[in-house]
Amino acid sequence: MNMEEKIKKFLEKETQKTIVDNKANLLELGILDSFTMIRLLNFLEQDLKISVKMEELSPQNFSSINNMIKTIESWK
Amino acid sequence: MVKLIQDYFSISAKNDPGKLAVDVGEDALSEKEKEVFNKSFGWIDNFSNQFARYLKEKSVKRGDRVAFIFKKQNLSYSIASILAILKCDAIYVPIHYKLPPKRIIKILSDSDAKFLICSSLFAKDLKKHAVLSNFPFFEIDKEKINIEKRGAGALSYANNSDDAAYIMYTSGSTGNPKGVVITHGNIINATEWAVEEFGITSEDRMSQHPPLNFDLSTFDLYCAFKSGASLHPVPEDASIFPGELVRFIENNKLTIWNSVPSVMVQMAVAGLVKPDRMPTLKKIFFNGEGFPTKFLAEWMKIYPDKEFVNMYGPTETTVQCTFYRVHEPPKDLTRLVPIGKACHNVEVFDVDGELYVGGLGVGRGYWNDPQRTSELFINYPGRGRVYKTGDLVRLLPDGNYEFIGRRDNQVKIHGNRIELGDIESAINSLPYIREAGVIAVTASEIEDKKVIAFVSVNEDKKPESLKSDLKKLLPLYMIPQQIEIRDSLPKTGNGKIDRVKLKNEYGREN
Repeated sequence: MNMEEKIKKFLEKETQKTIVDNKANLLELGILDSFTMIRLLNFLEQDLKISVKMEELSPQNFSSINNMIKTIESWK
Repeated sequence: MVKLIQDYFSISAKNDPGKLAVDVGEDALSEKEKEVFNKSFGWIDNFSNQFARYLKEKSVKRGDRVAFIFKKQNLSYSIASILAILKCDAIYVPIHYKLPPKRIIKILSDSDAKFLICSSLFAKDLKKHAVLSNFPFFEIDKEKINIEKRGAGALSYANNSDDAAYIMYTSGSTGNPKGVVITHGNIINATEWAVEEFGITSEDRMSQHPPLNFDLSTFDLYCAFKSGASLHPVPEDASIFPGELVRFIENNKLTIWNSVPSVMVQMAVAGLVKPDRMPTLKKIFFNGEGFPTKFLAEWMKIYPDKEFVNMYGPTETTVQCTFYRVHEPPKDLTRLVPIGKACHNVEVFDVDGELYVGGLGVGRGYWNDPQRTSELFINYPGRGRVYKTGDLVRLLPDGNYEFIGRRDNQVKIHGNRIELGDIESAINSLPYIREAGVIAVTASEIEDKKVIAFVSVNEDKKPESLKSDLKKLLPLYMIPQQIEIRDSLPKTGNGKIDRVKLKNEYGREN
């Protein structure tokens, strides 16, 4: 499973919702709320061993599966 | 002292008409957007006079209810709507744009609103629902040209301080939202005190974080109106991105921050609470729920020169009825800081541990609900009319009150008051549900709460489809984050669903 699938699967399991479109705004859909966000960040750091640059996150670069992947790639 | 709350704004507009009342900030916005959203005191005051005249022509009368819905960044039009409605001697009903249409319909029908002021885009969406296809929408973008043809001079008012100013709808245990009626006098009492007590001036730059249907926002709005301070609407989506929030505070050079504590906890968790950050911030108010103490201590250790104030108060008693200045970082991390002592002209006392509130902040009661009003707003011997908060408290030796918990199974999530019974009745209303028990648990590390529903069903259902059914009935913040489907639910001796057992089963405590 690649990172994109792992994140998607994690969010779907966590929120019990289906993500149909990787471009969809997860904030608008109510999938990404403060609770899920914190769980997601823990998941990224602990399970995927990504060191998250918290300060850089914004609705512009962390609201869909696609822009999350792009943002994470940019940290490498 | 003013008699009506719209006078605060008009006086500030007279003092400095060109001063920006709403400033959405420099970054992330185009010049065009800035022109639309940034508005001065003078512009809003004049526009709301024109707007009020136009509403009166459309037969809005004293005591009528008028609702409005705008997105956060449109704060200048929300404020113009509020003022216009008040200037008609009418009552405003703020509605959140993310509420599901069914909930919006309930609020519009319960308040018997004469109009819903909103954008034509939003009206188009709502008109798709049969019950609203003929509802009188007031589409401000289409009507702006008509409004601006009306006279901009001041109006005269028929209202008095004891007339209602707004109705705010909160979650109700019967599954229906309940409307809390607050008067001009209630708000004036809260505002006069806060501006004086905390020395808020026209130099201040205040955050506007809570949505306008949440009474924490009453503090932001009226303190700014009275003092002539500018308001800076925090973009709704920024709330879960701590970096974005800190940048917002810095770029807007905010001096005052007011929000629920969970937002501030996230800034601390993200490691952004550092000595060189947010230098302009002077006063920090938190309200709506308890501030997890270890994070408050962290904030306070890093910023010994900023002022931290815990505010407490149900919607029914107008934003805050008690307050506590936290002078030094709390040492006992196992207890919440006290909710403190009564604000000016407010009286608080406890009866068998339950906090009762009397004085000038006590609202009118519940809209259209004399029975509930008479149950919770009572005449207490020797104290006059008081509100029974349902909050359990302990009186400390130094005269401050400490919050212990709720009497019922009401919980707060990010400051939203949620009755678990309200969620249960929504779930039970679905045809395929056999039984349902809803609990709130705390995720240990971050102390954020999560709502979990345990249900048993008559047909094969997945949590996903249950959630999408619930979305038609409840606002997003009330949808359980997790739904567990079971064959049956545990019961207590008297046959009630055993919520304690459910909590234990989940393996974490509340």
